Amino acid sequence: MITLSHAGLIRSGRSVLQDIDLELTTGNLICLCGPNGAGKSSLIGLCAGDLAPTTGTVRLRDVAPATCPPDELALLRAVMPQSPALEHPFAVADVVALGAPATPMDAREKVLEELGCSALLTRIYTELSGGERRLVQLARVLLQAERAAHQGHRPWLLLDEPVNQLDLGRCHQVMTALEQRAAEGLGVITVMHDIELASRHAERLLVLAHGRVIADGDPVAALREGILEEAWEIEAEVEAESPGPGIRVRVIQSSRGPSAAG
Amino acid sequence: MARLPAHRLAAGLLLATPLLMFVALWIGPVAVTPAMLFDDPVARTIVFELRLPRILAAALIGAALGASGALLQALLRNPLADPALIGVSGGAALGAACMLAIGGAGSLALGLPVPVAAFIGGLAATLLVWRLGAVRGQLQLSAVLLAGIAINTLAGALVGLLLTFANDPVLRATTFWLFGSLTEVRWPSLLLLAVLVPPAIWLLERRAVAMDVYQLGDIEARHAGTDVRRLQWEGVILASLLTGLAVASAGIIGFIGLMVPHFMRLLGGPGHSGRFLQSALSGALLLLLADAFARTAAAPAEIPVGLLTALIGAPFFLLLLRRELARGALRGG
Repeated sequence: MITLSHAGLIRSGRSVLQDIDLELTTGNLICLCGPNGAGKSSLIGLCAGDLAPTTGTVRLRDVAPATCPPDELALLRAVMPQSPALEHPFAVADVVALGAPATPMDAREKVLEELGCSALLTRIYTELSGGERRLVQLARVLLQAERAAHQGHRPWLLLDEPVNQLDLGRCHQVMTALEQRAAEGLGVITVMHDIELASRHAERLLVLAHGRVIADGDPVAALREGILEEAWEIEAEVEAESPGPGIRVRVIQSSRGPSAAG
Repeated sequence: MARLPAHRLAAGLLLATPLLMFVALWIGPVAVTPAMLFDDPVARTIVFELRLPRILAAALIGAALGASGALLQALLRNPLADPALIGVSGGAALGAACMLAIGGAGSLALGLPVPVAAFIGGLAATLLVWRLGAVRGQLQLSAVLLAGIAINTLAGALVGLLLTFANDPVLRATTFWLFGSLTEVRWPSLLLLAVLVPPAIWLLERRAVAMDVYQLGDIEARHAGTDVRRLQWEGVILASLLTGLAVASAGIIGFIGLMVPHFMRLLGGPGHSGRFLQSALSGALLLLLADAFARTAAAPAEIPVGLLTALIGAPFFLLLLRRELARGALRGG
């Protein structure tokens, strides 16, 4: 379980997160949505131990992640950051195993296969497209969690926009893989921009705006019309998919500027 | 270029380096053969007292420069990093120049004073650079690079100032020391090199896997369980030690630290397992070759070996660079 109580974060004099109270449990896929600059990545950073809360506390399985030694923390959570900086021509098979050295080759291939990209195994990382690189990075993170799980831990997956830059087919493959991990008892939190996709796969959906959680719960309940206007400043019609799960959003007008749709 | 497996590369180098060391014993302005050792005391003196220490020095200094280059390129995630960049060469040069200015040209012949002054200068400059590049104990690598360049420039200007007011013998001694030469290496610094360089390379090899993970980026490496801060500080200390020892013993021998690891990466790929050992052995090999050439090419005169490595190294490096650029394979980190 990850527990945040009254957690607040101030970065460069700006209040990024305020008074966050959350209990996040393993075993269900949690999606974190919200407009740009809402504090989603900062919230992931607090849970991952990259950032220490300015006020309040953050607990990841009874430890304060910001002060936990990196090797112990790596068994409790695996993190996919927004933009990994790797610029060396490593073989993809080697990149995938960076989080879990000496993983057998078939295990590396299996995790890539699950994401629909086993053909990348023998390629050179720096020769891949942006989307392919994200898949490889995600495979690396999944493998790190798998290693920790083998050692008897139940690690969290903290993912910052894992489906960014991915095509439709890969998006669904990634979301299915994450659902699978949640079903196996891991904790999964993933930042998503596509709220329709999030609503179809999430068991719990959080909406973050201006550093606060403004909606939390079942996706259909969380993404009610008023919330879209409050968080994204758009006028939109939201209808529940039938048969479910999920919602469909039709943007009527963006209240920020000129009309976005007719 | 097809990648060579790390163990084959290391095995080849492990074989070639001692072989070249043995061959180099019989190369020099005076012709000596192994048979002459039995009945010619002059031959014994030449081989055991002149050539052997010098060959050992070439191997150890080349190894130190190659390994510290590989380390700095890994640490800064930049294939263009060079031991000279972290300020240690500039500081060492200033230390040596100060000692020569105070003690006169004769202090070079005393053995220890110039290397010790150079080591202190190098250490002081490095500490200054790392201090300027760290914010609350966290290294900012771009700041380290910029501080290193600034400190090197400052040290270079101060050396220039000292030389402006130096008399002719001091001017000549300092200039030759700056060129880099193995002629002045004495047993004390050789002993220090022999005791410290191999364990340092062993320590680096033990961090090879962590260095691979570290290439992901600071935060990503931490996510994967690496203690990034500790790895960086250990790296800084080892790089300063290796470069400082090399520069203090033999002056500034350029390009080995830049070229050797780069060449090893072209041969063996970007992974770090075996990289430090390979770079050390290739550095040793290269400096042995350069020194053998420096001793014999213009005999009885000697070409400073640092000039030679730069003369051979720079065009060779540019050639490699052009080839890699043409293949689109070189990407800065």
